[in-house]
Amino acid sequence: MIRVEKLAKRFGDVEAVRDVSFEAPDGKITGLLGPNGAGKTTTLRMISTLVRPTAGRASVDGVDTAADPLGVRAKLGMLSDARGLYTRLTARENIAYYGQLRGLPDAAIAASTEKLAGWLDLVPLLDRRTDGFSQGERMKVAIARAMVHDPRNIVLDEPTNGLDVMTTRALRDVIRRLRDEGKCVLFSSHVMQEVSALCDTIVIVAHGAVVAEGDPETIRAASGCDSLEDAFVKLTGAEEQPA
Amino acid sequence: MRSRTVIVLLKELRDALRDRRTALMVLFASILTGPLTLVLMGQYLSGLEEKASTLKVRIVGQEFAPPLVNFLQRADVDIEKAPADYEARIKDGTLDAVIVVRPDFHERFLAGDAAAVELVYDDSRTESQGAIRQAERLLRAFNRETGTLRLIARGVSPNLIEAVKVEHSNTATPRQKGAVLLVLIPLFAILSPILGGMTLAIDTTAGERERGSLEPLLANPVPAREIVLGKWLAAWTSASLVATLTLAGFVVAASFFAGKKLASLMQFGWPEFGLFIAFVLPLAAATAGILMLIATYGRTYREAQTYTSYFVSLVSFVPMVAIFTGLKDAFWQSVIPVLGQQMVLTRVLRGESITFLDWLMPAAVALLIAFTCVAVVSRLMGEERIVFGRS
Amino acid sequence: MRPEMRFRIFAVLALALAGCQPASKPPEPKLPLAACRLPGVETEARCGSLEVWEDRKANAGRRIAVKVAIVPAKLRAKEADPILVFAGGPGQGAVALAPQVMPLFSRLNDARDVVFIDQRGTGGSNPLDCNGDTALQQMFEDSIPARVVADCLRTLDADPRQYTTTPAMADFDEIRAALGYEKWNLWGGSYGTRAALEYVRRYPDRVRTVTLDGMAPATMKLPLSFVADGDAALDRLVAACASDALCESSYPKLRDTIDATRKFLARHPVRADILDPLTGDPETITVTENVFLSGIFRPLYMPELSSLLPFAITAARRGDFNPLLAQNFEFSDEMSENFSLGMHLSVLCAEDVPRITPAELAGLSKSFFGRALVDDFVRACGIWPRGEVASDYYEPVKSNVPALVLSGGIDPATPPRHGALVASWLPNAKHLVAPNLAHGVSLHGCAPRLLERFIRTGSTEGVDGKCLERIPRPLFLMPLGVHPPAAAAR
Repeated sequence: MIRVEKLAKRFGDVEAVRDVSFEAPDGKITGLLGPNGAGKTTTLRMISTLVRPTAGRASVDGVDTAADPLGVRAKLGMLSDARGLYTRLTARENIAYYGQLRGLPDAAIAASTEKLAGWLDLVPLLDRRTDGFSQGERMKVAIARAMVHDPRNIVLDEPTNGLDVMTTRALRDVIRRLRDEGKCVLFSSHVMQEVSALCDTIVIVAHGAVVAEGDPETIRAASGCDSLEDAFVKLTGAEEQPA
Repeated sequence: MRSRTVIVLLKELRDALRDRRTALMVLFASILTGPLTLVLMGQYLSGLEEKASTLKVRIVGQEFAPPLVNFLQRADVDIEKAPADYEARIKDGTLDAVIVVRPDFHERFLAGDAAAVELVYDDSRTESQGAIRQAERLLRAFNRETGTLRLIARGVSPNLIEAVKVEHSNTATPRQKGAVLLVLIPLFAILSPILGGMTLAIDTTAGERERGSLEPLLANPVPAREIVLGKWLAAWTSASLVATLTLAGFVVAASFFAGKKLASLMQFGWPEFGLFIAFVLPLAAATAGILMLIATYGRTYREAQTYTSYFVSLVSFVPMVAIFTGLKDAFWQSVIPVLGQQMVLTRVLRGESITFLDWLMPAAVALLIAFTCVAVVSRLMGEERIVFGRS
Repeated sequence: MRPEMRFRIFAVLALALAGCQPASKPPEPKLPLAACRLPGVETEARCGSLEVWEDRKANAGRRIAVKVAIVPAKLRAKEADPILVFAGGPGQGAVALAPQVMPLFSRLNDARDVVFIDQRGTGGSNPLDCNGDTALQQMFEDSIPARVVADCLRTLDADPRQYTTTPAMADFDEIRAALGYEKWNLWGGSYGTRAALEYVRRYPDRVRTVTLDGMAPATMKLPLSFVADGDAALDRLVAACASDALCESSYPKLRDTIDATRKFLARHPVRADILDPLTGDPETITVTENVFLSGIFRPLYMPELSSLLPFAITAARRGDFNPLLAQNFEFSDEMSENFSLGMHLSVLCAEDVPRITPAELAGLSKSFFGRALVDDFVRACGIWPRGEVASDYYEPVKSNVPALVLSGGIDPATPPRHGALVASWLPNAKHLVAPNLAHGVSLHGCAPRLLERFIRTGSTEGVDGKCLERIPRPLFLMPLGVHPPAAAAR
């Protein structure tokens, strides 16, 4: 379970995140929806402890990010905005490196790699160097790498960005499977359809603050709009958003 | 459970070795540096010797100057008839210097008048300087012999025209003379670990960030200092390997030249190699750390390369200063990295004895620098502006 | 066990131990060296001296210090065998010769030490100097006045009989051991060849190579041999002048001029007014036949100087002795600075002069230089104590050591016949003759290169003396204003 309370982050004069609070429970898919620049990535980085909040707090399974960042990291599987691979290593080696850093025994790493590769359709790619991989293939390796330790909590920052339809579908299946295994899945997106199709709970963020929270129907109703899309546009003020 | 530092070290080394082209290039370059340097120096030296041992002059009109020709023959000089187009040949650089004898030479010589010869050369060519000086020296020697005999024939002591007799006293000890050529080895010993550690230092910092793999790496539950320590160890290993190979290349190459003059000048055997390694490894630790620290500030791989190249220039400048200012050994130098090593390594080549204390001071300073760099880089790796860049 | 038995065993043990001591640790004589400067030598040298018994047979009495100077090899990786320089004379000190000799070894010195030892009685090794005040007149005569010899003998703190070649070579080998050299390369010039050859005879295993430049073997009977050899050298000079168109036309019938001048001076010594070559002060010199003869003989050592002889002789015939005397002034000046007459006499009076037979002396009058070069020595040796000479001293030296023998074809002192004789004793010797060089070949033309190759390889193989044959005789000095022959464009 991931809990975020009144999180705020200021970079110099820029207030990237002003007031974000939400809760992503276990066994649910929580979508962080918002236009580009709304503060989603910064919020997720604060959850993953790489960015220290200016105010507020975040916790993962009750472990506070400020008090025990290593403990939080241990409980998280994080697909961050940056998802670079080591192109001279094979997919398997990339995944194993993170497994080793997390202290997993070689057998556990192997088993986990097999399982994730099966889910993600990665098996034929495992022993190839990653420098010729397509964006989708790279993404799959990055996801497998982030989840090699079978984390309870999974944070995915814009995971479908730049993926083709088939890969997107496969990814959605994986996310659902994770939920069905009872994990807490938190993912961000600026694509409303993506979120509405997948999420149990949606958190809409705009200008660094949460503007709505709840299941898709609740949000639509609360906004007084006919469709969720209209609601999203209205709530985020996307029209005013500078390009 | 393996130490996470070791995991990082092994991964970085494997990653670096997978870059076959770069790895092979670095390895070959380091192995070949010694032999190539020695071969070039050997050629340079034997070229000098050749020029010094075979005296040769080219003359136009030697038939007009029997006394000069007789003198040159006695001085073991090869006399060559210069081609008719000598002036053109000197201009285009295929001839160095030509002595032109005028037809009235002998007449004037016998009359006691100054018999003019013309020395034709192009002094803008540095490679001609030797031949020009040689011709001048021979003509002067001829003048001197003739003048001496003429004075004696008049009953005058030739001492009268030699008011000052210059006796050369060179205070360089013979070994130091040989070692003048050896400043190169310390220079290579200091630069090779820098060049050998550079790729890894940049790739594991600026490169990692540019690739987008730094943020996920740091999201692992591993303290930054363990990761940085592993990366630094990898850079140090690579630096040490390259330095070792480079220096070993010198030793092996020197043994190839055994018996030749160069070999004896290059008395750089395995004992000296061992001493060099003892000094170079701590220095390599420091330079690897410094390189990482510098590269951490680079936004991209290229930017980091630019920054580190300034560092390389600075480092190669230090030994040059020592060489060209003729710095004398002093204790303060041992606390200055690079300079300290340069001075003490020169002493090794001079054959002076080296004590444990001579080693301790520069090594301690170098290791201190290395650990400071590792600490600073670790701290930087926890800073948002470094991890995420200034985007 | 009976007590005396025990005592005996004890004594045997003690004796055995005592016997062991020197065997395991040979008592190496120490020869501490200190940094020093040799004037005229560019690099720093190391100097020291070894004390030896003056009388090596008695091993008692006077101790003398033998001076050593080493110019160390320039390179760290140096060869184990240095070069040892034997000076001439006899009577010259080797150390003072360093500036003249070092250029010869400049390249060999890269990898080899060059060692100079002042042979006992010379230089810095208890020199037997006879420093009477040298009047200008004396400079021009090869005379050794009996008074000078007697004075010298009185003032010397030495037993002149101990200064012959063989004991000096024992000093050298003691120094070799003290310096820690296993073997060395010998280079000797003039009398130095005799000393070097004697060293080869006594310590053959200690010699890697030997170079003998201007061979003066023990058998040659100095100064008797000067006469025949000097005659030959003068003949060659006269012939060379005759075959040179310019010389022949400028100094026609040189032989006649020489003979006529000599005859004249024999009957009427001339009081010649000359100017001191250095100060320009007017001086009066009595030019006797003797002065004239040694005035001709001495320049023959150096072809450059002897190229002046036709001019000087012709001037003398006219009554102008300035050129001839100035020439000799140069020569004596150089000689007297590093020359110990006493040691010279010690060697010659023991090794050479006693072997000259009365018949040989009588035969001299038929030669040109005649008794002029000999009589003074015979007289001086009548006063000088005569040292002992080893019984095998005049036997041929047989050794397989690689040897390079160099001779100058117009040498008035050590012409090729002596070199050829010694080369015939040594199976691994090569005798090279430079037909137009005189006393001392090593420093001329291509000789340094040959020498370098010989010492570097330790073999005469590939040492080719052809280049020595190409060295011409210096052209004779002409009176100014002579016109070149029309056919000068040769």
